[in-house]
Amino acid sequence: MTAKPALAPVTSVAGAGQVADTTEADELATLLVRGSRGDQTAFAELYDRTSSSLYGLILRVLRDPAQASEVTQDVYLEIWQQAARFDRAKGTARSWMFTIAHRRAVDRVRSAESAGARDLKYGAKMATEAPDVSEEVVDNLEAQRVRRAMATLTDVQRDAIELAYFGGYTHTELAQMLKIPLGTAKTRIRDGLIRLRDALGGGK
Amino acid sequence: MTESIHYLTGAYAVDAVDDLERARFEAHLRDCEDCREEIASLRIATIELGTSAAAAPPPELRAAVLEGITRVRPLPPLTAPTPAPAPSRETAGHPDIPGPRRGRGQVIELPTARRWRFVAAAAAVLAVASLSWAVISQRGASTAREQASASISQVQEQTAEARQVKALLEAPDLKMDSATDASGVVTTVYRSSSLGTSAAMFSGLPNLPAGKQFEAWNRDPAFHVSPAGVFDAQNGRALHMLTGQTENAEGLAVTIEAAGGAPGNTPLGQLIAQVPFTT
Repeated sequence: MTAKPALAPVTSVAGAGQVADTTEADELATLLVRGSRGDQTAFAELYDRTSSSLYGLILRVLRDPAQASEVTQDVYLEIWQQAARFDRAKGTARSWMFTIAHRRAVDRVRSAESAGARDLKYGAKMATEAPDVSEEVVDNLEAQRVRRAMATLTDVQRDAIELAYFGGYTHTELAQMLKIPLGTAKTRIRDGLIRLRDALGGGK
Repeated sequence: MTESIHYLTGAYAVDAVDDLERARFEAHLRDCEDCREEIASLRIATIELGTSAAAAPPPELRAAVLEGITRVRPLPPLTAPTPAPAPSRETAGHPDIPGPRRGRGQVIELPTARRWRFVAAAAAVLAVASLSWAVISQRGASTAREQASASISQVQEQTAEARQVKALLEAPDLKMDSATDASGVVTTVYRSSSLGTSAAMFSGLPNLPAGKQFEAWNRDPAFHVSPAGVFDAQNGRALHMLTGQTENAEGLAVTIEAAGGAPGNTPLGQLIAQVPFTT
């Protein structure tokens, strides 16, 4: 567990983006630490402050509210259980929780796919449930800010990031889907994220 | 650090990597501060992107989560590396996450389709070892909470086994064979000659009548079988370290036998799964 503070640029980017972040990060980290000692009240507050973000992300990836609820519940149980292993030196509490949530959502969508269920389900849900999902989306200022930042990306970068992050596709699958060379998908994702990061950092 | 692996930062930050790539890249991350920094900074962007999808969860989820945590004991912090160190988790200098450890990269060059099955299955076994069933597809399964608590108690009982499985999956000569039987039982066998151990992971196992257990059988080159241990399943899933004469086995079979194993070490019951070893 090296706590090498290699994250200095991170803080500055975050600082440029969101002024209130430091306080929020500290508070969430504190709640997480209290949770790791078995404090259920603290964990309830942590849930209240993060559940719409995590659930929304998971729902966006899975597109199925029932599955999204199930995975969200698993994710919070995992957060509860693993909270002592969160390390402030490596990133914020929110980042840690998001990373778990996203990976679990992607794991689920891929395992559904490998079980042969994804195509059917996916098609059906797309047709019937996609509108519901967008109605549920909390259309906050943050979302607008991200949309503006996403608009600064090239079309191909934006597609690559959306397919990877929300679609759960690997860069290899992406290359096949978009009929581009393997290395290109990888660099598109990276270039797009860098541009997104910079646009978000300087946007406010 | 080669350029090509460095460019994987973006794909890694959005989980657009498969399990082998992730394992390889996390090994790279331990030595590459540039990549660690870049990923940390890219994650800020991905979190904001993720947050833009925020949606109100169903109200009943809160109660389910808060009820669920009363049944799960928070794990202690990871302090000093334990006797069987798990290098990527302890030393990766980035917002690493707990959960499924992944198969090592230097396994074998498999054709793409088979490799995918391999990594999916490896991830699933690792999930058992590290307390999360969530990655396994949930066909016919009960609620997530039940699975979580079931898997946790199972793992607590089987920590020794979990350690063995972890060691096995990190073996440089890990081999894997997988098969799906007509009844829907999916079996994956992991073997390492250097460790002399092997394990089998199952999903889709049928419910057992009272007084019965599953029994695994090693099949030798002459198609003789010998016992490889009995096991039970939870929600149709099981992970079993194989015992007996595993060294020269060329296949695995599973039957339903009397609890404790078939008398006379001869399979008598219904055959529900078999896997020939091809690797």
